[in-house]
Amino acid sequence: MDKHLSIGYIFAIAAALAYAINSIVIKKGLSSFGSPLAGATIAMSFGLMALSILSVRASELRAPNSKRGALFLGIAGISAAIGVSANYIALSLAPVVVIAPITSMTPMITILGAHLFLRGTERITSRLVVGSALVVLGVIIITLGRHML
Amino acid sequence: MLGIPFALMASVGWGISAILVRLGLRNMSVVRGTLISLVTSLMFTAAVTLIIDAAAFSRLSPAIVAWFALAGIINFALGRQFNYQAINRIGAARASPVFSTSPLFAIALAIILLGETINVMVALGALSVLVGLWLVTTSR
Repeated sequence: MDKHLSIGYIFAIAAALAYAINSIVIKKGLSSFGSPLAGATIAMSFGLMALSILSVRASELRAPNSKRGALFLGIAGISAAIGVSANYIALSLAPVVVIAPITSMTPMITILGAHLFLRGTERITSRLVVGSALVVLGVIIITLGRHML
Repeated sequence: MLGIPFALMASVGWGISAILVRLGLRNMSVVRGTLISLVTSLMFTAAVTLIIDAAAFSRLSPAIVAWFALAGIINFALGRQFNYQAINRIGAARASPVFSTSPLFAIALAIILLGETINVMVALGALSVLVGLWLVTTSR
């Protein structure tokens, strides 16, 4: 596999690992505090502070910038926050065995979005679709297995 | 079930976000892009919290803040940055299913740190995730 792609997959796995560690840490925070949204606000504030320190490096100050890119990323941030808020609200209204299988569908929505809006950039193959569907199915089975049995 | 429309909204929100990140990072460094997205995420989440549950902030203790601070560094400063690095290199469609494997890591951590045992259903799910991951990473 191409080195650029390999590093990309390592970053993707590192992100998945970070989310798994976060799910344990956030449970500790929420065990004596009942507001996941307030928790997310505080977590984002500290995440922003930590990231701000990284962004003052000289190489970052010289990095390319564009208003269009900033606009896309600003909306991406709002869209992700809608995801986080809606997920917490959903979990407060229905059990995790109902909500998690629906939210696990995100990769399929991303693939559909890439097919519609990233045609020249990303190639969607049947192998990718089947692989993603198996990941989604596996995550749903894991969630049901952990919460129902 | 009132929770289902919100779950769908969450899934669509995350899916759209990944596409916008791919488009936005064409002319933007990953760290700066992550910073911009985190600023707007914080503004939105803080506004929603103030509308729905503003009183929650008065119940905070230093220990609770410390747990959320740690979560913020892991999830947003590191996790989101890794997420955007991956999208920038392999694309949103290939990165998204890999991010979704986090429950597999959560199980591994639960086994190692908490001594949790797994049942047949969880093992079958893990197998499905691994086969899916292999198909995704070997797709051209």
